[in-house]
Amino acid sequence: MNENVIAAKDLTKKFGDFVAVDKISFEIKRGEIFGFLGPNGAGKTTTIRMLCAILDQTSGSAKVAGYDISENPEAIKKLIGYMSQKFSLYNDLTVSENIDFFSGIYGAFGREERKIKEDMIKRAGLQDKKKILTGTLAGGWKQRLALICALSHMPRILFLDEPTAGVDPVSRRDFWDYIYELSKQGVTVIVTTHYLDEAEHCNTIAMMNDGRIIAKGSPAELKKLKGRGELLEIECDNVTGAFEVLKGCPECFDIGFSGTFLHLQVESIERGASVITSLLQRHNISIKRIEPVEPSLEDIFVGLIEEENRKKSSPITEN
Amino acid sequence: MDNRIWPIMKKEWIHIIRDPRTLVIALAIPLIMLFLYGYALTLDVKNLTTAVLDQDNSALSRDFVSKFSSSGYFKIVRYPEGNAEAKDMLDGNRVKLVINIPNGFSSDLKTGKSPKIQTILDGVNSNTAAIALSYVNAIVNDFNEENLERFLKSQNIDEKIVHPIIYEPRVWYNETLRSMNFLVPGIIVIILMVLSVLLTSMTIVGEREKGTMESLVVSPLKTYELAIGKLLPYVFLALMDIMLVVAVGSFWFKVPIRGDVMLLFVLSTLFLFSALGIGFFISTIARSGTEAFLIAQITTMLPSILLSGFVFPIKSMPAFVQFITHFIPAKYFLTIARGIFLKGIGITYLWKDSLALVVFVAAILGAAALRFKKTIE
Repeated sequence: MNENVIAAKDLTKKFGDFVAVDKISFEIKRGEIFGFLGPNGAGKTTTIRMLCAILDQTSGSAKVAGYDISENPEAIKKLIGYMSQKFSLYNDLTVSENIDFFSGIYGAFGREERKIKEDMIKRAGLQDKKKILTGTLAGGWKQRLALICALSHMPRILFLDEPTAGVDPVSRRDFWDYIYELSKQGVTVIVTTHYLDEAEHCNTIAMMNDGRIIAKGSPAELKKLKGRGELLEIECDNVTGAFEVLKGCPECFDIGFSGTFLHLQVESIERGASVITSLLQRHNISIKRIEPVEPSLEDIFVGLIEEENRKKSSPITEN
Repeated sequence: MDNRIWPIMKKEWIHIIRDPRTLVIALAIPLIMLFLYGYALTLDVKNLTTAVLDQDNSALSRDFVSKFSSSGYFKIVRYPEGNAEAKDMLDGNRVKLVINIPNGFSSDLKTGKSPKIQTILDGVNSNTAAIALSYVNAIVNDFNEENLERFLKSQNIDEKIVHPIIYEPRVWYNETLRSMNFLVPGIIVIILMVLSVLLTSMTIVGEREKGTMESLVVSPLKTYELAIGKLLPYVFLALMDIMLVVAVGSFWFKVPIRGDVMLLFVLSTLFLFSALGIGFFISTIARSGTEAFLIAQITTMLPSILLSGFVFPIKSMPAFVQFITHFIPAKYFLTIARGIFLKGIGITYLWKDSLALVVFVAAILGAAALRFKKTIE
C-alpha cells in the first residue's frame, strides 16, 4: 500500500521568461488524497497538466504509475482520470450519452465496464435522470456526472481540478465521501484547490505560491507549523475600530478578521497582549476576550505567503 | 477500424441533430443560395428597356425599329416626343437605350444619301453596355446588308459581292450562351465551400468554448481519431448537400450534366475535404466561434467568390492576384465542375486540377493536425 504512485523531481515549467512551476519535488503514495493548495496562478494547474502528460516540462522529471511523463505519455493517459473545474460535459447530450462518450474515448466498452457504469449511476442517484439533457442539471448533479465520466474507465489515478467550485454543501459532502471510498479502494487522488476547507479533506497538502511548494504535510502537521510569532484572538465591542487602531501597531506583523473576531500575529503573547490592551483602552474600545489560539490552515497559509512576500520585497534589510 | 472514432462520430452527430441551426445551415442555406444566385445573378442581357424617338415615322423606320423588338434583347417601352424627353428617360433610369431616327431617314435611304441614326446607351454598367452595344451593331449590320441585297437584286447584280466570306459561327459547350449554364456549376462550388467551412470551423473552437477540450486532450484519444471522428458526420452532411444542389441545378435550372455523374461526385468529395480541412484549420487557430466565423468569411468565402473564376475571369486579373488564385481550391473545382457539367470531359483533361486538390487537401489537413497538437499546450 505504501509505494509511490507519483514521484516528481525538480519539475520545472517556464513559459518564456515566466516560471510557472519552479523546481518542485514531491511523492504521492498509492491511495493517498494529495492536495495542491494555492492562490490562482500559483502553478497548481500547470503541475497537474505536466503530471497528466499533456504539457511538456522545461526541466526536471516525474514518474506517474511508473511511467516517465516525457517518455511514455500515452501509457499514462490510459491510467488516469481527469475532472476539470468546468466539469467538461456536453450540455446538449443526455446524462447517459455523456457517460457513454467519455468511456468510449477510453475504449471502455466491455461488459464489466458497463456494470461499473451502472453501479456508479445508481450510487450517484442519477438512474432516473439518464435521459435528461445535461444542460438542465443543477451544479451538484453535474459534478456527480462529471465524476462518473472521469471514472468510467476505472482509472488508478484521479486528477480533480477545483472539483467543488459552484456546488452546494450537501453535494460537496457526498462528493468527498465518495472520494474517500475511492481512496480506500486504492485510487490515488490529486486535487487542486484554493478553498482551504476543501484542502482539509486531503491526507497531504502541498501549499504552492509563485510556482514553488512553500510547505507540505498533513493538515494537522501544517497547523503545527508556526509562522512568525504567536496568534492572538481578540473579541471586542468595536471590531472595525480596533482593526483601524491596531493596523499601525508595530507589535503585530499581521492583522485580519476571523468572523467577528480579530486575529493578530505577535512576537510574544505576554508583551503583545499588554501592548494591545493598553492601546485599545486608550481608544475607548473595551476588550471582552483576548487569548492565544491555534492557527487555522488559512492563517498558516496566509502567514506563509506574506512572509514570502516580505522576504522578496526587502531582501537586504532583513538580517 | 479504431473503435475510439465511433463515439466521437456519434457525439458529433447528436450535436448536429440537436442543434436546429446546424441543420438549417446545412439544408436551407444551400437552397436559398442556389435560388438567389441562380435567379438574381444573371449575366444575360435581355429585354433591355428602350425608347424610340422615330422622327421619320415611315415604313422603313418602323421596319428598322421592329428588328430591335423582335430580337428579344430589347424591349421598346417608351416613345418620347423629343430629345429632351429622351434624355430625361435615360437620366431617370426608365430606359437604358434610346434610338433616335431623324426625319428623312426613309427618303435619304432610298436616294442613297446614307442617313444617320443615333443610339444612346446607358454605360453605367459597362458589362451590360458592352454586350448591348454588340447587339445594336449586329442589328444595324443586318439591316444594312438586307438593304444592300435588295438594292443589288433590283440592279440584277450577283449578291456574292456582298458575301465574299461565308462565316459560320459556332458556340460549343453552352450553345445558347445561357449564363445560367455557366453560373450554376459555379454556385454549387461556392455553396459547398461556404457550407463546409462554416460547419467545421466551429468544431474545435466549440470544444474549447464549452470547456470540454481538456477532457479530450487528457484522454488517450489520438489527434487523427479526433479529426476523423469529428469530420465524418460533416462529410456525410455535405455529401447530402452535393446531391441536393446538383439535383436542383440539373432538374430545376436545367443545366445539362454531359459528363460522368460519378466522377462529379468523387471529385466533389475531394473538394469537400479541402473545404472541411480549411474549416478545421480555422477552428484550431480561432479563439472563439465568432472569430472563427470572421476568419472563415475573410479568408475563404470572399476569395472563393471573387478569385475562383466564379464570375470574374482569372486571366483578366493582375499577375499578383492571379498568383493568389493558385491557393484557392474553389478555382480548381470550378474548372472540374464546369468541365463535367458543360463540356462532358473526363479525368484525362481534369487530372491536373484534381491533383492540385489532392495536394491542397494533404497540406491543409497536415497543417490543421500540427496546429491542433500545438493548441493542446
